[in-house]
Amino acid sequence: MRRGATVSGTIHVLIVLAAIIALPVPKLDNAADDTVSVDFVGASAPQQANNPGKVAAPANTPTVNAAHLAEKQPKPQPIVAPPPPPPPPPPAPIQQPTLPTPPAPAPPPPPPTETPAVAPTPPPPPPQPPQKTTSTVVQPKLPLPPIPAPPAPAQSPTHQPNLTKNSAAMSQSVLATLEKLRALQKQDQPPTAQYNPDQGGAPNGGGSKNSTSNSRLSGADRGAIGAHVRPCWSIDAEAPGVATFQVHLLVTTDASGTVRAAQVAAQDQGQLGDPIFNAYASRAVDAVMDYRCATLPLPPTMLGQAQTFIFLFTP
Amino acid sequence: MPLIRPSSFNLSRRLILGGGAAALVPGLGHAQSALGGAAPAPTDNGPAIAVSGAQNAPIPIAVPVFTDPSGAPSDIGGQMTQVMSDDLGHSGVFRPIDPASFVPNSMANGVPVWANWSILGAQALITGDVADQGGGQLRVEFRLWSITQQKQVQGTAYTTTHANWRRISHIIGDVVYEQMIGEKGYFDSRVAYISDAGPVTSPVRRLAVMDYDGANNQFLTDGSSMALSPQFNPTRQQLAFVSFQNNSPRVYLFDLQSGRQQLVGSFGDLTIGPKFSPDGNTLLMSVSRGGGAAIVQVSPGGGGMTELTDSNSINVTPSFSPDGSQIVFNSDRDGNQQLFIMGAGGGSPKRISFGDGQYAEPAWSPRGDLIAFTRWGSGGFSIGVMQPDGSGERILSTGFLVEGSTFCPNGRVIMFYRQTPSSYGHDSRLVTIGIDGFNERLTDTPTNASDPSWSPLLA
Repeated sequence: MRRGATVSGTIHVLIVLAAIIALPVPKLDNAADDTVSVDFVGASAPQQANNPGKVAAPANTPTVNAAHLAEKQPKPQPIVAPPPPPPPPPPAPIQQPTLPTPPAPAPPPPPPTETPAVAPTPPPPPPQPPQKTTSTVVQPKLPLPPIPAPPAPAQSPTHQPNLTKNSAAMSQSVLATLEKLRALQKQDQPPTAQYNPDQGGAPNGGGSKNSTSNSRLSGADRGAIGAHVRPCWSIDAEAPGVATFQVHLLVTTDASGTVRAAQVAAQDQGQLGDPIFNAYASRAVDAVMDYRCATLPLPPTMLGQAQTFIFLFTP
Repeated sequence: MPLIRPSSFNLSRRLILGGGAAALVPGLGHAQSALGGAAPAPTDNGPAIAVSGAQNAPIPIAVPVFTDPSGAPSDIGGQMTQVMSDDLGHSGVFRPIDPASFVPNSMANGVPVWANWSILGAQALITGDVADQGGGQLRVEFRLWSITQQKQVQGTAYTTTHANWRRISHIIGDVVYEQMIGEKGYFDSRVAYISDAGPVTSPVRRLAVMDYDGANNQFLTDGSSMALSPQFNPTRQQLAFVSFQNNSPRVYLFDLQSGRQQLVGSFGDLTIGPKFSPDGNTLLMSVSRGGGAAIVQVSPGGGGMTELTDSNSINVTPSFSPDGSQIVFNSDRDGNQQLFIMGAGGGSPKRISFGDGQYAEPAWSPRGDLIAFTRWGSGGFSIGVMQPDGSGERILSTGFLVEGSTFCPNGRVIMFYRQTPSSYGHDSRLVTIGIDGFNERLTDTPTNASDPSWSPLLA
């Protein structure tokens, strides 16, 4: 018992001594440290301030690591929200939406080893309801040599995956004719038309590369449109050189006369490298696309189709 | 000639020269719209549709509170948002939209619901979040959106310490400013000034520095010796100032990054206002010579003194043009105090001030297009700007005593101090105003304040 108490006491003493020796003594906060004293003692000999670290300037500030964020792709939201875009069509087969009669799924092109289906002695075709078949499996009337079918997986760019629309070519039925007409009129492919940049007018024919509809506007029309946009047009009047700035915009309206796009015209794009001019041009775009001013007072005869105009924004 | 007798000069000069109550001088040229007269440009397809008569209007901008990445409220995010909003509003070129008008749920999958913002009239939107990354580190992510053009303009993330949250807010404000205005901002900057405390009969004047908006105030001297005329080096975080010890003025440099101070020298009983050259390698100051004062140029080490003017008159408060080729200063060589311009090496000065009253304390804008000044006369004291050739003078602010102009780093805003009499002597406050004469605001300081000097951008 006495021995145990002695050992315990010795251990405790050692621990206390170790703590005193090894652990750091915390400094006491000194409120006076908040004031950085620039001590002027010995003015002839420059000296370091007493508490240089307290003048915490860039030393504890500019450690800023900037990382550019990938731009989120905002879905364009027109003023009138369109229905959500359809999902991309599957590569093949292209589905025929709302056909009068649901077509049977087109059989995949038979592999070469199955071409005996078009063997020289085919059985007479049984009567069957009209259905779409691929052109490669059209049953000829006369025996023909086997036609090598294209390899199914690798479709060439010119591959025609669509079902034939002339599914009953020999039929004399009025209903079949109607069916054929419907099939021909149905748009079963996404539109392939793309923006066609200006290619210039007819030779000596008066057109221009930047063809606009301005010539169809009277002076009163232009004045009314300018007055309509003016309330949305603002500038930073203290920007250097702003008094001399002017920017041309190509502005596209939809059928209702609402501005859908605006961009700096070609003759002024060279100035966009100047960030101040760029800001000026951006505010011009903002003005014409502002929802309060975006619906232009176009003459009624110019509604109903897209138009392009050129604007000039001056201070 | 301010600051020669710092304890009483300003007030006495006001009493001697100012006359009665300050009369408001209407501002000149405060055009709300800059009119242009360009004719529509004819095209092959007819004349362009001309839009002119633009308003000089601030950009409406929405700054919803930064949250944490999960969308939960964040205290520090809220504070950062407030600083950003204050910065942008301070500039006068943005108009933060009242958050109370925001439509709930106006972000969808990280992308703005454009209609909800455009209906508020917002042209720009700042969104972001703040993540505590542990170890005292913050990750701040922000995006700037153009509401009208429905696109992201900028997206940047910053990582820094918790202590730097104000600095990050200022930096984001500067990024937004530059993207939308086309010029660098000025929010990430500081102001040095003279703190004036104690009784009128024995004021304690200390050198102090703070963020441009008044935050993070620090006193650099303890007041045992009188500090005067702080001037920031335009190229780095270094101050020049005058300190009176035993009634002997000495010029010092103080480096805010290292805390080192350096004696430039003692140049006579009257040494006024050291001013840096644009490259920061030369100092201009006024020193007494006989019955007058000459403008001299010295190196930061105090050597190579060159007199740029004679001392037959009082020549004081020089300021370099931003290209370093010219110096504007104040002289009474024509009988009373007026502004003159001379070459950087001296030479024949040319007078540029010809308005009523007297002119002093010129400060050349970092943009080079304007010179700020103090003018006094029968209309009282006023702060104004003119073009370097003396044309286009316009008064920005008036008061009992207003002086000590300093430009912010991009030259868009002027800070000065406004002194008004009070029951206990005087009240002296720092004030900012746009160079268009709008958006005058007080800057909070813990004591009376004077002689501000705006730093260059910290970053």
